[in-house]
Amino acid sequence: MIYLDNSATTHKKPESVIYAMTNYMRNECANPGRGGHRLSLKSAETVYMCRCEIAKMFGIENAENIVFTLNATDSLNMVIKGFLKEGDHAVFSSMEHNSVVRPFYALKNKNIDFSIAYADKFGYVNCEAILKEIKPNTRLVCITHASNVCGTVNDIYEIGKMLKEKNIKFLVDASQSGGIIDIDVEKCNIDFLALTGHKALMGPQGVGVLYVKDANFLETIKEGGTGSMSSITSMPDYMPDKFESGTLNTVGIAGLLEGVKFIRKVGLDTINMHETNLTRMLLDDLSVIKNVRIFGYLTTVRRIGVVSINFLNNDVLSVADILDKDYGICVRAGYHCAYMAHKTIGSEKEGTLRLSIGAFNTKNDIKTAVYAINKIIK
Amino acid sequence: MIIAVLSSITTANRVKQYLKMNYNKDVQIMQTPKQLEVSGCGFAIKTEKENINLVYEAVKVLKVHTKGVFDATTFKKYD
Repeated sequence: MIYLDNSATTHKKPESVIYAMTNYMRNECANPGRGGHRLSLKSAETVYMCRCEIAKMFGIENAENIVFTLNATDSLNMVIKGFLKEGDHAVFSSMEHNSVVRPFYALKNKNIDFSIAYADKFGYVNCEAILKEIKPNTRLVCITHASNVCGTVNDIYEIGKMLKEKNIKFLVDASQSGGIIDIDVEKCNIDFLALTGHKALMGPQGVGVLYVKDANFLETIKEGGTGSMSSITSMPDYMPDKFESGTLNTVGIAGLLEGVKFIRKVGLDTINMHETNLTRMLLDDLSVIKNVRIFGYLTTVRRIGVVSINFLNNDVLSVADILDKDYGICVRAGYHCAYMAHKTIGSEKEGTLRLSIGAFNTKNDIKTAVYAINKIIK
Repeated sequence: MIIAVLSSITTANRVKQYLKMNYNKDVQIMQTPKQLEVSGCGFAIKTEKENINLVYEAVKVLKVHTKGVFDATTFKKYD
């Protein structure tokens, strides 16, 4: 079996992640921050260590500014719905995932307006496109760091610099890039960073991360028990408790901790280089097959290992099905929860077949996938 | 022994980590005793009285909120 759907979730997890989760279930498995007994304190320590590792990875000074959520969708909703108020305006790009698009459309009923900054045909959103949409009441700009459709990477450093000068808050969706590209929240002037634990960060599903630079700007959209200040009827006003109500997915966090440690041990640059080399091979080999159209950049500059293609004479869903049934190759075909992105790059008719490379893929995986595609298509 | 009352388990772990990494001091995290609890459910660190200045330093350097440092037996607040 060859797994090339790492954009959806990474399939092979490091053994240390699996071990940490089963070890946690066997030997810890208490509720962190809910009691003073040894197991609760041990669980709380595991959660805290994960915050610290994530803080180190993303240049975050204070680990308390890291909130654990259910997933990146949860993180994005928390910012979009907790930050914007009636009469506000926001900007997001035409390459955003539905986890950004849908919350914004839902807010139209609450008199919160938005504009879309259009990317070019490669899926790249530049500062000018964003600047064009900014209004006097623009308070938030939301940009995906790397597209989940065609892998194009936006320059969040330049965008962050521009937005800081304009005193507009910057929300970055790093679901596809966290764990592959080095991100420094301070250097990029990021106010909110949304991450998911189960993609390149190598953790299990069910854990997301939200970095919040300043909690004073964000209201809660969910309230409940925090294990702190129980006698008050409002959420605590300090981080991270303000945004973490209910029991955390502690076993998931135990796994995510090991995932992040794995990346730091192997080296982010090493993983990035490995995936870049495989992406280059994939792009080069696909580009010589007749009747295959590649979307996004045709080189590895400004892109990650997410490659979308479609075919002149075959439909993407059928090809994906044959790849799975006859060749044991797992890919995703369709709109990838990002129809707007497909409209932007010109694949809205039927979507694309997406091959997304991960840290555990090999040259042989790429060669075999290309061979299979070549055999299948007319 | 002294007890430093902090806002959350996360803050308690931050202070604990600071004291261990910078001064190799081990502290105990505990639920804030009822006599010191202001608003129900909180966490504190307990350590030897000789570490009181280190605790104040940790709170200052980490810019965390503390509800005060107290004597672990009498619960009298230190200024």
